[in-house]
Amino acid sequence: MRVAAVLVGLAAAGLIALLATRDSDGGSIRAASPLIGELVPPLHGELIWPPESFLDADGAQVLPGVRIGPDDVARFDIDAVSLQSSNPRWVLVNFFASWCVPCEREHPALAMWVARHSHDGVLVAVPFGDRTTDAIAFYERLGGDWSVVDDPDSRWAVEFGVLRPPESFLITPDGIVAARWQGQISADDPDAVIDLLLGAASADAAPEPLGAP
Amino acid sequence: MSDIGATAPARGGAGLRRIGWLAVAAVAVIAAVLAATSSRPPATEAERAYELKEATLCPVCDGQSVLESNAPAAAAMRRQIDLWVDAGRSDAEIRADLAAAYGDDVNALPPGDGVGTLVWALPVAAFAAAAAGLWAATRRWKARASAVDADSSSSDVDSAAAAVGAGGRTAGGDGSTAAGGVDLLGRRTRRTGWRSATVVTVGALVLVGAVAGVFVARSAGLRLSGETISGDIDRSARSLLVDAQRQFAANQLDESRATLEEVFRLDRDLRGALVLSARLHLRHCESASSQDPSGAGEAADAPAAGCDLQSALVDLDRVLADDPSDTEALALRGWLLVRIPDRELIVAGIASLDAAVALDPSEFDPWVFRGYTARFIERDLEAAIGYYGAALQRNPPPAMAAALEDAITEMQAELE
Repeated sequence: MRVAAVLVGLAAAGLIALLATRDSDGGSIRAASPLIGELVPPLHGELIWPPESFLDADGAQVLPGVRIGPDDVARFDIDAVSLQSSNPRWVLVNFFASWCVPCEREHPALAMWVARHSHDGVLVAVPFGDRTTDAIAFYERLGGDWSVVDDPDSRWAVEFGVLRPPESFLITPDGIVAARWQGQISADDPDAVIDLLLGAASADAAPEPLGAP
Repeated sequence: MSDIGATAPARGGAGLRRIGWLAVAAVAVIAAVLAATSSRPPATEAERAYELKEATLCPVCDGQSVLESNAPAAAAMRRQIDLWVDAGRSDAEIRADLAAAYGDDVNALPPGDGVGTLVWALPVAAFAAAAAGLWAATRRWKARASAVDADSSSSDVDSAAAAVGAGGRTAGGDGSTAAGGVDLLGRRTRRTGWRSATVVTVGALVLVGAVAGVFVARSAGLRLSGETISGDIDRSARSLLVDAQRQFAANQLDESRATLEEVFRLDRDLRGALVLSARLHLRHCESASSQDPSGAGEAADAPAAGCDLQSALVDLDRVLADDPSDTEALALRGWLLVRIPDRELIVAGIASLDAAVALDPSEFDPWVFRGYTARFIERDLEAAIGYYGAALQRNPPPAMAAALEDAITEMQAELE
């Protein structure tokens, strides 16, 4: 009896030690979503980042998927980089919030992914559960030469079924949602899926079922 | 005394049983009324949105609806539900969209098919089974009791006492004390036993009926919007207008007009409805001059049923009185006026079209109207080409785009 009590105590202590020392920002979870395998929801909206001056310096079309309307407002439209475009790209949609620590931590990874995929990928960030002014301040502080699109009515967030930031979705050049991550991602996370899909495509094999963790 | 005693309990039992059935019927009716009233359809769109939020579970919190939760995801869903309801989408569409993004688990209501059917069907089935079981039991008791009445030997009294004892045990009542009696006491036992059996039956039926009724009422009430019980929900003017516009797009002109009349009953000043009303009048006039739908000036010669340019103008002027820069109303008004063969009205129409185009609208209609006027009325082909070109840049439907391109080529050939 006493031995059993000691064993239980030891097990509890071990569990506490494990939980206390575990790396809390232990990366992302590849998550399931009813959207995976489906056509991407329509994405278009007003740009809140980068600031207009940045756009003007390099010309209107510096960011893929961004168009300047007759009202001088820059808008992102996924159709312009996906299926209907002449140069379809991988799209990584990143939902973030200025108050979210993992979002800040994953920021360098996003920059790295954008640098890697300057020709075949586009990153679009969307504030979620955040004030627009705070989201802009977040990017002013951390930088980032990719589109940040305002979602004042949380339309995108609901279409994508976002639960809590950060959350990222990879969309194939065909406009199909291929993967979803909950939590902080590394630049390699989306690339692993891209490699998998490209490998499957080149081997002309049926793609592995996506979405399972 | 003993003869009276033998027949009176049977008569009394039948009467009580009738009262019992009446009571059950009354409970059933009351439960049905409760069910119908508790699932009263939402009176307003805000109420509909409220009930949708109540019936949608927050995906990141345990057991909270999006109505109650403060999580950003819940706030986003609330906002979106408001917008969808405002856009006139049905409850089923909204729930399907939420399930498509978050999974079926966000739906707080069990689905009406598959395993979920059990939740709806079980209480009713339980009620039916209980009623049937009790009915069968009373039949058996009655049969035994009449067998006892037919034969007054003491041994049968014993068996009747035993039967009453069995009935008493089912009810958990005082049957055991009655069953313990002998011979003379046996008749008393049978009489009071019968009465108590009937009372128990009625009581049990009333209880089961009430419980089942309340359960069905509550669960049906949670179904929201009176989907199964009360039929259509009350519609707002805006959601009706969406329907009317859809019917107009599908060329169901009479249906569209009927829906529009409903809109006007609710809101006489809805701008979109006034514009659609003008469009409907105009469409009737266009189909009147059938061989050349865009034949300027011809429509007014032979007015067809529903072709009422005057009413169309009144509708548009009301919109413009509210907002003089409504490009759609300006363009329609101009288009309508230039088709009436009267120099003054044509000039006014062109002015109206010019005003619409000057506002640089993103729709292609005003540009097409203005181009047509320039081509056929003012005979200014260069200007017409410019207007058609502007229309082409504003994403007209493919058929329209092809027609515009053809017209531009024709005019360019004519100019050369």
